[in-house]
Amino acid sequence: MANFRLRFSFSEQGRGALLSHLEVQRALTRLLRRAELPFVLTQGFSPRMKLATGPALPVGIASQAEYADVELSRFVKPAEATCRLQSAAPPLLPVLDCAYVRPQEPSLDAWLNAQTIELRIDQALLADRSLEEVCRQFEAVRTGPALEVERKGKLRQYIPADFVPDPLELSARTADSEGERSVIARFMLLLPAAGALRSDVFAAALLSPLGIDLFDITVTRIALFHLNPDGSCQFALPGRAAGVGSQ
Amino acid sequence: MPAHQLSEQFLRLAARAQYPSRSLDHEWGVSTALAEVQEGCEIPPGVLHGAFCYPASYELGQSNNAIKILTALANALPEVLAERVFLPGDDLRALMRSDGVPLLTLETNTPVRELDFLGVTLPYELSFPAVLEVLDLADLPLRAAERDESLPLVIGGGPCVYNPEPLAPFFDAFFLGEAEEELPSLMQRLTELRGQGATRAEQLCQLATLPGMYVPSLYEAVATGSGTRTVPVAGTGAPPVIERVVARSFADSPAVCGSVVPYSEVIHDRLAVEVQRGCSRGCRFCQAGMTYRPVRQRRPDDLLREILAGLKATGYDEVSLTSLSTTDYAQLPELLRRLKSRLDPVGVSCSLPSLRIDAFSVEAARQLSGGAKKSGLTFAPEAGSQRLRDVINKNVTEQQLLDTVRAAAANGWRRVKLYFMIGLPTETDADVRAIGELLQRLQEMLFEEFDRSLARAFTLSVSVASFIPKPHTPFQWEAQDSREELQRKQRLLEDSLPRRGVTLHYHGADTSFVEGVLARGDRRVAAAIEAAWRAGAGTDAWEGNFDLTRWEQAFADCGLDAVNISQRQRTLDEDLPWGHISTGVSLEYLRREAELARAEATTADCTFEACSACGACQAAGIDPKTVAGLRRGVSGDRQQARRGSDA
Ligand code: SF4
Repeated sequence: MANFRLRFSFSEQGRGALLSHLEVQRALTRLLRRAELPFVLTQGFSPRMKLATGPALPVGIASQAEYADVELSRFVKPAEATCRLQSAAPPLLPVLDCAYVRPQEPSLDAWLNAQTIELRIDQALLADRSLEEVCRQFEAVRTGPALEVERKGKLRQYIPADFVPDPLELSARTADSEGERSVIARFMLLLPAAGALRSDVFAAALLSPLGIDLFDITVTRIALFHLNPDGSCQFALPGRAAGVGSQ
Repeated sequence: MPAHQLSEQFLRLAARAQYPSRSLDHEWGVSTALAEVQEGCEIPPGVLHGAFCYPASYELGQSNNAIKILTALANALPEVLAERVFLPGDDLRALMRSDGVPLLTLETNTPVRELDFLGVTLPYELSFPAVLEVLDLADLPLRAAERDESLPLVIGGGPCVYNPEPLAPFFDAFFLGEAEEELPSLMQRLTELRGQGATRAEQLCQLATLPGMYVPSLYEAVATGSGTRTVPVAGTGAPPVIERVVARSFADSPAVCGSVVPYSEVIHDRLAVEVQRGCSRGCRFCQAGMTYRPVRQRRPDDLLREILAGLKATGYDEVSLTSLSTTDYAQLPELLRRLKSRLDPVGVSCSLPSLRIDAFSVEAARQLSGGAKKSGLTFAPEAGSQRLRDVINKNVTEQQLLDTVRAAAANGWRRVKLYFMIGLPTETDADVRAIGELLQRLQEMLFEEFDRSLARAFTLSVSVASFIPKPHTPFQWEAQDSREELQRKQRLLEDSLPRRGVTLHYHGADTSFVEGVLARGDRRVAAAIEAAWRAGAGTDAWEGNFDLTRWEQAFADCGLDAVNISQRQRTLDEDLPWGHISTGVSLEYLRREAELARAEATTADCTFEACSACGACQAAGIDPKTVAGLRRGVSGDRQQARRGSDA
C-alpha cells in the first residue's frame, strides 16, 4: 500500500538559531515520535524514520520557515497532524503548518533552490553611517571578488554575485516598544545543487568592512522557496509567501 | 545588569563558543513552573529557588541520572523551583570572565549567586577542582566561612561524598546517600527556616539534625595517636556519626525522572531507566558496591509501563537499562523479551551498559542487537590470575571468561573489551604477567575453535586501570602503588602480551596518584585542591587537561605529604578521616573482608546465597531476608561454577 508524504513547516527563531542542522534533525525525529504519527521506518537492522529536511541552515542563522517531509503509513487529517505536531514540538522549534504532498514530488533538499535572508543591524553598531553608505558598502562586497571558504579541508571560491544576483534592499526601522533603530537588509541567496555560498559566510563578508561581528546582529532566513527559470517562485507549502523580497 | 540583559549577553557569548547549543536550555520537558519563568513570569515570593549542578559540561551533566532525579523531586514540591547548572566549556568561560558575566542557571539564566541553594554532585575525585571553578565563575567565595547571608547554601552530594573532608571548607553541607525519600523534607525544612528569617548559621545547625546531613563547620579534625578523627565541635549538638540515607522504597519510586530531551548530543542520549540499585557482588576494591547497598530491584511490570510511558513522553528511540550490574537483575530475560516485542515494531532499541562474564550476558546482548552490526562487548575480569581474582573477590573463573568470549565470537562479535587493574593488594609480578597469559589463552581458544580468518580478525581491546584504595571499602587501609611501580608493572604487562590481536589502553598512573590522594585525604588536602585549581586544574577531570606538575607543586606549597596519604599501609585499627561517616556497611565487615582478602578467600554474593552480615540492611531498616537469596536459582551459574572450580 502506498505511503503518505506529510510535509510540515517549523521555525527556528531566537535562541533556536544556535541549533545545528544535525541537532534539528534529531529533535524532529523525537518530535515525530512524541506526536505519535504513524511514521514509516526504513528496512534493515537499524531502522530509521523516513524523514527528509530541506537545505541546512548554518548555526547562528534563524529561520521563519523550514520544511521537512515524513512518510506515514496511514492518513491522518492535516488538521489533526498539525495539532499533534504542534503539541509535541520543543519550544525552540515550533511547528507552523502541514499538508500532504504527492509521493513523486522531488526531495525538499533538491527542490528548494533559493532563500531570502534578512539582516537586522542595530543602528548603534553602524554609528553615524547613512543607509546609502551601508548600501554602497554591501554592493561592493556583493559585486566584489570571490570569497574563499574552507570546506572538507579544501579551499573553495565563491563569487558573491553568482549567488546573490540582485542588489540588497535596505530599509531603516524603529522598533515600537523601545524606540531602538535598526537597519534591515534583505537579499535573495541561491542554493544551487552544486554547492551554495553559505548565508553566514556572505553575511560575515558584508559586515566585515563595517567592523561588525556576525554574532552581534540577527540573521534570519525569512523565506525558502523554489525559483523557476522564469523568475517566479513556488513554496513548499501553500500560504508561505511572506517575506520573499528581492523579487 | 537587569536579568534579561544578562541573559542576552550570555547568549551572545555562547553563540561564539564551540558548542552554543549546550547553553540554550528551552528543551522539551522542562518543568512547567520553570517554563513560565522563561516566558517572563516572576518567581513568587517565598519560593525556594535553587539549582543542582554537575561540575562539568552540559554534555556530561545532562547524561547524569542524579541531576534528573534531584530536579524532578524538588520541582514536584510547590514551594521549590530547582534548575540545572553546568560548567560551560573553556572558551565560553574565558569569554564570560572577560565580559564580567557570572555563572547562570540553565533554565532562567539567574546568576547562581542569587539562588537560595546550590546542590553540587561530586561524580569523581578529579572533579573536585571543577567545583571550585563553579564557585568562582558564580562569583561566590570559595570557602563557606566567607559566604555571607545573601549567598546560596552550597550542598554537596553524590558518589564522592563518603569522604567529604578534602572538600569540607568549600561546602556548607553535604547530603550523604540517596535523595528519593529525604530530599523533600530537606527542601521543606529549608523553606521554613528561610521563611522564619533564620540566619545562615541557624539554618545549618537545623539541617545538621536531618538524616544524612553533614555540616562540616560543626566538626573539627583531631589528630589522635592513630590517625585523624573528625568529631563534632563541643556544644554544637551535631551527631558524632552521620548515617547514609537509603531509599527503602526505591522499587516504588519513579523509574523515569522528568522528560527533558536535550537538543545537543550528550554522552548518554537515550532514556535511562534504573532497573535496580546496589550491587552485592562484593568486589573489595569497589566503592559503589559498598555505598549503594543493599540491592533493591524494581518490578518488571512497573518497568515496562514506565519505559513505554517515558518513550512516549520523550520521543527517544533508545532505552538503556542502567544499574551497577544490570545483568544481575533477576527478571532481565523476561523484561527483555517483553520490551523487545513492544519496541522492535516501532524502531526503538534497548541497551545494557555493562555485562557480567557469562554466556547469559552474551545471549542477552545478542537478543538486543538482533542482526545489527556488532560493535563490541565489554567485560571486567579485573585481574589475570585466579589467586588475585579471589583476593579482590571477583567471583569469575577463567573458564567463564573463555566461555564468554567463545559465545561472543560465535554470535558475530569481532571485538571484546576487557577491563583489568594493576597495583591491586598482594599483587606480584606473576599476577601482572597472568593478564598477558590469560589473553594468550583466549587467543589460542579462538584459533583452535574458529575459522582462522575470524580468529585473526578478533580484537581483544584491553583497558588497564591502576588500583586506587577508596574509603568505605575493604581495601581502604591498603597502600597504593607508587607511580614508578605502576609504570614498571605497565612495562611488565606490555612484555607479556600476545604479539598481535590485542590493543592496550592505560588509565594514567599520574591521575591515579592524585585521585588516590583526594580520595583518602583529610581536611588539609583542601588547601592543595585550591592551590591546584589556582594553577589551572579546574577541568583536570576532562580528558587531556590533566597536568601532574600542577598538583605536585600544590602539594609541596601546602606542605602536604601526598605520597604518605597515597602509599602508606594503614593498620585496621587506625582512625580514618572519614570515620564519622557511616554507609551502613559496618567497620567489622570491612575488616573481616580485608582479612579474607589476605587469606585469598572469597565471600559469596548475598543475593545468591546467605547474608554475609555487612550491616547495610540493618542500618537501612530493611529485612536482609528480602535481599539474601533474591536471585537464588536465577542465573546462578556463576556461583555454581565458582564453587565447582574451587572444588
Ligand atoms: S546485610 Fe546481608 S543481605 Fe543485606 S546487603 Fe549486607 S550481606 Fe546482603
